Amino acid sequence: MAFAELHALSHYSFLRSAAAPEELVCRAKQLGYSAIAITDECSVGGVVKAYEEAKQRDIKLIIGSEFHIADYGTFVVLAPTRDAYAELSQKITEFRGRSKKGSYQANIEDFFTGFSDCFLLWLPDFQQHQLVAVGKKLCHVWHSRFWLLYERHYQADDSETFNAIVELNKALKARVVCAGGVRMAAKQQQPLFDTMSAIREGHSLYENSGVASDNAERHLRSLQELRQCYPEAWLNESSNIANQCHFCLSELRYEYPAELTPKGLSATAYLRQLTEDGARWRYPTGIPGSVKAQYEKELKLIQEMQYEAFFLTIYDLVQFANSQGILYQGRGSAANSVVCFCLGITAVNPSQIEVLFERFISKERNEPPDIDVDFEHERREEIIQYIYKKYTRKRAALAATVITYRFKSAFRDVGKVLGFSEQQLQFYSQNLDTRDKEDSWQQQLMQQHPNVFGSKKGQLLLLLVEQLKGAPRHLSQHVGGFVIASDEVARLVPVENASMPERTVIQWDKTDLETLGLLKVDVLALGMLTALRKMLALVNEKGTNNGKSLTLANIPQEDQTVYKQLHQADSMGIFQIESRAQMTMLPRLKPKTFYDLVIQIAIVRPGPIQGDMVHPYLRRRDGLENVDYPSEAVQSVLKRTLGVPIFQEQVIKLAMVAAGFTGGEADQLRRAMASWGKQGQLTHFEHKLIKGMLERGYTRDFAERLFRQICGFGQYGFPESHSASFANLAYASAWFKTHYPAAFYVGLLNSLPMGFYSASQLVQDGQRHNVEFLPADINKSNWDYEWLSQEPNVVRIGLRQIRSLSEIRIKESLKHRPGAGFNGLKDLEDAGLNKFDIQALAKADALRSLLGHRYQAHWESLSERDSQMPLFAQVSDRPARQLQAPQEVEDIKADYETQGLSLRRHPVTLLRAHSKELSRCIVAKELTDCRSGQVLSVAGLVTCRQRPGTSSGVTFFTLEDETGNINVVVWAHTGRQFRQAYLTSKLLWVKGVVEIKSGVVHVIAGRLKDLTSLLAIERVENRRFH
Amino acid sequence: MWLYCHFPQLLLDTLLKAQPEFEKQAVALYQVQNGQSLIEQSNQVAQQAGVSQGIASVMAIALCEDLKLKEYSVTKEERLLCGVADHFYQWAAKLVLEPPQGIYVELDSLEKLYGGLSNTVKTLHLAVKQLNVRSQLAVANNALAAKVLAEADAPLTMKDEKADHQLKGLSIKSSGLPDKIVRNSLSAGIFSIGDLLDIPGSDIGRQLGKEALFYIQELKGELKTQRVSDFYQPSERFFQHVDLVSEVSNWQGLRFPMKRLLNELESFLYQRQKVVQHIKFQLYQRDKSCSEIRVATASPSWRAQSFWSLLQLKMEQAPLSAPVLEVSLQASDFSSLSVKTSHFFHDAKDTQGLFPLIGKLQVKLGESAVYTPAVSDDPRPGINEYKQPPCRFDGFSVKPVKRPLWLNHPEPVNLDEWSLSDGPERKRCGWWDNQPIERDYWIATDSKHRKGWLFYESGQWYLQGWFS
Repeated sequence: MAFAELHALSHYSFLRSAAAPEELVCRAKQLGYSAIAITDECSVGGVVKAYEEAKQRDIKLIIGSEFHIADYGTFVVLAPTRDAYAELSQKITEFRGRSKKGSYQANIEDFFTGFSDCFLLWLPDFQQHQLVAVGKKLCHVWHSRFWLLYERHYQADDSETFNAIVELNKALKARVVCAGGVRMAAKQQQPLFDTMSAIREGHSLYENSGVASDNAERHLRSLQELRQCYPEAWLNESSNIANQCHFCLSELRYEYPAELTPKGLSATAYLRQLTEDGARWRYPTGIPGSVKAQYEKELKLIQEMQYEAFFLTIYDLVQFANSQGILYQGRGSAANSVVCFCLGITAVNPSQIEVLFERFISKERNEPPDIDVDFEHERREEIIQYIYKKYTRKRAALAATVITYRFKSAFRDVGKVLGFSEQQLQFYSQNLDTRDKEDSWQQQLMQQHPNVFGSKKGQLLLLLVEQLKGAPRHLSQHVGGFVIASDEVARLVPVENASMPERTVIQWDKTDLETLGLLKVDVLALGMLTALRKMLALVNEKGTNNGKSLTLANIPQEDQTVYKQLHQADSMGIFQIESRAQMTMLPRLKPKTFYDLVIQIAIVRPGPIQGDMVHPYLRRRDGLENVDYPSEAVQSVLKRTLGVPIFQEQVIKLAMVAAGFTGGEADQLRRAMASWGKQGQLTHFEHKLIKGMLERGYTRDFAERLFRQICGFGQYGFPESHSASFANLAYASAWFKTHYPAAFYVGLLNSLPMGFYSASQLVQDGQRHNVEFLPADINKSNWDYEWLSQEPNVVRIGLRQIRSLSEIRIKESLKHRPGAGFNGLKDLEDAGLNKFDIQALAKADALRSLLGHRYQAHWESLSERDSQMPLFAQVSDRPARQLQAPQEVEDIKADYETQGLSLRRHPVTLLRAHSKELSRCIVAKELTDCRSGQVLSVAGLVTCRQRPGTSSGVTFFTLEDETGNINVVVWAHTGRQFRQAYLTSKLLWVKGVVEIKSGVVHVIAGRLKDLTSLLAIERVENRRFH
Repeated sequence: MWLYCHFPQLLLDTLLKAQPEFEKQAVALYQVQNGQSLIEQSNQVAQQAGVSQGIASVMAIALCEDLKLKEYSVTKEERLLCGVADHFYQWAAKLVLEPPQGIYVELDSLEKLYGGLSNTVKTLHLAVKQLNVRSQLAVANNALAAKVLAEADAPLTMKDEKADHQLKGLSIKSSGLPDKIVRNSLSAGIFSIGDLLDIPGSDIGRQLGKEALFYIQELKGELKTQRVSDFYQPSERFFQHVDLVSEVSNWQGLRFPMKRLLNELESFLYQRQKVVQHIKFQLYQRDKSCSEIRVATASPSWRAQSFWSLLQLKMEQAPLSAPVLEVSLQASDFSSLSVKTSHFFHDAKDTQGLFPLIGKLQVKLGESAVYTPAVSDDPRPGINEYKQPPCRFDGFSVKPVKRPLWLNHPEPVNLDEWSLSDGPERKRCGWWDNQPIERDYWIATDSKHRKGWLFYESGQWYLQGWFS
């Protein structure tokens, strides 16, 4: 007997199956099936994973999908050929297109026409009538491609169903095939399957156990079990069908859009022409021989791999961006090639870094090149619309991102199914450190709540959460990865609606596309590019750059004044190196070159931190530790980073040169690194890696250390190629901060929300850099912040800073602003502002030049002047009542409420006069003059409360006072001791010990006190734990 | 003159009264607003740990790990307010409810009765104290002023001038004005009610709108108020409900709350000079089922004790079937205290209808002897059967499957005496609790051609039931 399972759902039929596609394939092979069909509901979302597994296991994979039609049953459609696959993919697209995201709609009529190549297995719903008539029609339409499907799961009505199918078959004279209706790879998955069903239905298993399955018969059964269950002829029929299915996903070929190449020119020739033109533009004084040699090598490889059109597609997009004045930057290993440099895709000169192009366009692995292009975040939509316009919606769709269960979501959903309340679950999970290396989250829960997690229910929760983690929940759209097809995307992969209107996503994610070698173009959004474009425009407008037009490309490189500023950790607002962790690293790493910045960006990441690479690197850099290499091969890889692997590429290259991994194996290692923690795949490589290194003469100690570093790297390792592109923008923004601080702050403030800091923090930082900010005023401000003068640096706050204002109406009304300014409420109304705008302006004190202080202005703006209240008409002409002006503290409070910042005195200054505790505190700028180890007290507004996963129980607070920011470290036990102040205070007093090391200042908290009650201001922006 | 009683934590205080053992623990009520769970009421212990109104429940638990949380329900609090009004009705007839936490009492009509304003207020104050819940009282010459003062917890005064002074000093946020008017006032530097009262009415009307103007006029007593037009009418039926802070799994834990409900019924009946014969407790259980306890006295009564002794007997008959989360007591069909009631079984009215019969059967046979059998949609035969309170149907959608009419406790059988006819129906489920099953069910016929429902488990065949 031969059997092929033709109806199996994977967990890509969200919450309807407990089995991963790989598990189904693997189990089918183990059981000796001749083939397995993955038939997710109106989806082929899981087939690529299954395909990869099937390739390895050497078992036939059939692509299919099931559809439910109320009253008629389940329709399993299989794709025997490439044309049938295209048909199925288009049908799924059609059914999905009729419904909103996540659902589909198919009717019985859909199965009467439109399928000419697919196979149909029909599982009728015997509760309904007219089955014979429908069956006859299906038989007629599908003819030899039609089967009746029988599935038995040992239910009470099995015999009735069996008899019914036999009767129906007599009437139809069709063929019957049996299948498992599989939802589990093995019986043991029943608890997970039941849990998923309960999550889907939104029930607790204890309250509504009817959602659970009766038995585990929907698993892949052994051939013997199948023989006991079904007639042999029906079993054999499954194999007959499988034998007629020949389609394999490897047949899918990506066909490039043809319109990228001018007529009469091949893609290869056109790319060469553009590269050579670009080289002459990049090197006007003559192309260096090494550059020419490198691009020749690259072009050859591109031609071999037939990737010309991919480079041309990206070239086309950046050309469009150029024509529209949209700033962009390419990144990724292929982006940092000489070809991309010449095509203007990236501004990173490849000679500045060492990125091995051929590793990422590898012949051996046949993997698409890696190029991401960041565009200004405010204008990325223009690029997307260009793609849709040029290629049409039929030919372009976004890649999907599969949202999977992570710890928190799994814990919440499984917990609810097991009858825990939402509050309980939040409470249990909030103290967990899911990145704790020593104690797993299960151990932590057992330690923290032994009674709960020692019980059966608690144990089930621990077990099932672990099982559910990694299972897909739904499809979402990739941040910007487009698949562009020459013909129709839906013939390649089904397309469905995304939640955003007018957006469609394909059913495969980035990894699936990689597996199949299909290209995607990443069109990403980056706030810093917007800010930089605005900074460049400001400097060019002012003509202050010695009359030369400034661009990203001609910003003076390696300017030591820029690096000196960074050594002081003065990096607020600077791209990628503005976080607190980066700030504390800057004075230690003291970057002096562009490549130092590349390292700085990559090193402050969980990967290098957890892999313990940071301290060895710093010690070696400071000359405190010898740099030695076990071999020349290793030296060639690690020389630039002093023998410490910092970049993801280095780890991969090390595996190749030191352990003898092939390119393909190294790529698998890279993928395993990316999914480390999810499935623990990395441990598979341990033996091979260590063995390989021992064979090549490396010590066991070195081999094991390298493996530990790889594990620590995990998914957080950062590629050098990306770091280099980021460093370019980091340097550019730092250059502006050093030389044109006003342009820098104006550029940033006009691009918010972005980055790490609020407008208030940026403005205070600006003031510390001698930039004077003038208040927003309807008669003086425009919508954006404006740079008024350079000597001294003066900036006028833009009206955009005022909350609840309509951008369109304000911009429109400003067009009507008279030269001498508006002269009263009526002028504002005539200019098109409504009463809400006027009141918002009044509250923000932006009507001061018209109506006086904010109370007066607001009172007058409240007036119902359009005679809606005839009762008071007689009083409307009376002169306005004069109100008392606000006190300073009231003004500050209102400033924060309406603009999130204040140019008046800092609230802490004001409060010092009223509080003994505050008056005795050391202020931020005095801290550097303190002795390390000195006991002192500090206080300030809590602007950041951060508990990074890498910090083992430490919480970092940032306190803001009138002179700057204070970094406070709170250990877990101190947090517990002063729980309320630790958790809730907005104005915090800290007594502790100051620690000063390499210019980095921290206060280690010993005592905390909540001084929030002193504070009248409540809306200071406060970054919570994250 | 008006008295306003504000009960800022009526639901929580009532809850703690029912289970005084929780008074020393941190307890709070939360409410879900826009998807966020926020603290609504908290007791003193919780407040000391920083659990205050408006903070997120998760933050509350972080501040106070032992915090007991219950969901706040405005409906329940409103129902409790009716109970409070019933209590007040013993002393004052002109009451107006301001749900969910306040009651207006008209004082002018009471002054004669109690001998002056001061005595009236004292009397009512005592009446409030009997309730043993947190209260804030204020007296003023108009209802709105009394309400504003009470809600702001101003010290009680009967002097107009002092009340006026207190009122003017209150923040505009305590005025009870709509949020929009409060925001607009604050933005114009109007921080107190006094600031608002200083502004001429016409200006207020023009700048802040009609609503603010009417408010000011009402506060000054210049405008007749609509808020105290509907006087409270005591209910004709008794319904009181107690949320338990923590679930209770034995009768001992329920004695106090049930007795308190009976005491409330007693005072309800006493005020109305009524008696009742049948009362009904409902116990809301964790598994969402609800069991009823009907208690009927031999003759109508108003005393808690008469019901209590019967109730105690019932408690002794059977243990609680499941942990209880809430208890309620209902009573209706009152008769006057003077009317002589007829004998238990001789009243024709009593013998009609199913419910009186069930009530009597339960008293005679014990509560657990009378029930409606039901089947849930749990896949496990036997475990899916449960006893419902008589004549209640939960409406589980159970698929029509082949099931015997008559189920036994499974007994071992010898398969040789049976002939299997239909099956197997495989049951492998129940992993989530302590009753997992692994059985294959068959329909089989015995030597007497009787159709039985057999299952095979752990190497043995069992008979589970008989088909008709």
